[in-house]
Amino acid sequence: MHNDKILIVEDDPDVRGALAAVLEAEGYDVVEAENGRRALEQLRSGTEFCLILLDLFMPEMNGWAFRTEQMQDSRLAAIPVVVISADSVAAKRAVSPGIVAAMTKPVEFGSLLSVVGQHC
Amino acid sequence: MDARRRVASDKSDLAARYLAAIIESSDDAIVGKTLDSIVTSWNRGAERIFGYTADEMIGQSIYRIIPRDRWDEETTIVETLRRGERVDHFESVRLRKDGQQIDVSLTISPIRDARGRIVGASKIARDVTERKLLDAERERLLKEAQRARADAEAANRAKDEFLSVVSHELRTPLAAMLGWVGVLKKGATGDRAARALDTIERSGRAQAKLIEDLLDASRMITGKLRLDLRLVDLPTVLRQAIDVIRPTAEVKGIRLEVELDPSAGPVVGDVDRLQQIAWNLLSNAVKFTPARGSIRIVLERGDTEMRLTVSDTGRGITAAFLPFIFERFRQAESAESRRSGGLGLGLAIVRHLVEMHGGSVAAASEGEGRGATFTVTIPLAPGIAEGEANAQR
Repeated sequence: MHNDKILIVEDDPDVRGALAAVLEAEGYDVVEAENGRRALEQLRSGTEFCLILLDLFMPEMNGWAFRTEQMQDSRLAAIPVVVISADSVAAKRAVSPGIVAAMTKPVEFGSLLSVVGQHC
Repeated sequence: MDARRRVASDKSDLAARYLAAIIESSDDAIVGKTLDSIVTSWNRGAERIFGYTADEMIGQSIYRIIPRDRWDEETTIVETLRRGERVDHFESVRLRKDGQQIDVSLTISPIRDARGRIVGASKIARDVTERKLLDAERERLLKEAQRARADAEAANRAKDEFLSVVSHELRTPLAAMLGWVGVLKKGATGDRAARALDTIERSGRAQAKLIEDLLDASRMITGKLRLDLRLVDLPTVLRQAIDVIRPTAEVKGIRLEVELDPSAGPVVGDVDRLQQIAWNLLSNAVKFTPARGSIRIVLERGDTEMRLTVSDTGRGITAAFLPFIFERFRQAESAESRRSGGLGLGLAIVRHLVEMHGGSVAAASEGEGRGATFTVTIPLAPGIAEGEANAQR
């Protein structure tokens, strides 16, 4: 039903699991990454992604650092990103070209699914 | 003498008397001296400022009022005067008769005779000790204000950071709970439903604990934290805390080594708060110890106190952070990229509760990656300790 996958980048396993379960229930294929570095590994593995759900506050490589890396890689720069953060101010501030939406945790699933639907 | 000349002489007498009166009534010291630095006149202001009377000074050397380490100043001043130049508002230090040093501002001008030769100097000295003190005081107040401002700004930043951490920590379990509720509403069954319920329960409990810690921190700050004191058996308290933490430790493959001295007698304390002390230390140890590490829990009895030691093989504490480890809201990692959640309140609460029990807590670590040891002492119940000591006599 959907061809491309959604990459969920989130360090909290419970939150990540919930996002994955909600999207899977809608028929999407998801791949989970626990920080920015793992996300880059997934993105560079050859899998095609239609959207990235990105947490900001993460260990190893946080969301901001991930965005810098993503924008510097021409193969990845065009993949749209939805920022999801517990910090509403940080989420709003993160909005920039390539970030199609910024959401505050807990995420309102209706709006999330509508954004996902536009890109995947 | 003809009449005209007498009038002129009267006039100049009057002018000289006026001048003398002005000099006498001046608050500043006005002193005349020769180029050999011998005092020729000494007004009342000079008497007041320097403490010497005119009789004591006239005919004496001006060096009397110059501190020895400043004698070369006078040489320079005399050279300047000989060139016909004046010295304006020169700030220096002079000696009073009583030996006290005073800050003065000096203005010295050459005096010429009728033929224009420089024969001496008039020197006006103003006591600026008070002004200097005021300057110093103003400087001190300014520094104090700057420091207070820096402190306030730091406190403000800490508050902002704390609010951001609180918001993050409260929203994360909420996000997990609502997310899994969403999954359940879609009609999840079997393993997925079980995971949903498990996560919802765990997140709910985690959030309750966060809120409890926040309330405790608030009670600590306002001094409203109270102990419900009774005789408490510490080994029992510890066994219960260990039972609570054991499943989490097992999931991470962390080995628990427990040594509880059975003779460790009762202490006077609040059983819930003692449990909280143990639980906070143990959950911290589990949180910061990687998989397959170990945690050692030892309860010993000293002569007057019980000693609880919790050592782990975990992440350790840097020497730079160690002094701040018990401060509330202090966390070793910055919010943007930390590996561990939490509010940074656990150890602050531990210290507060231990101290309310009359005990002490200390942290030690060889450094990053080298584990940490926390030692808590709680005094033995006084009646018990004395009673046994008496029995032994």
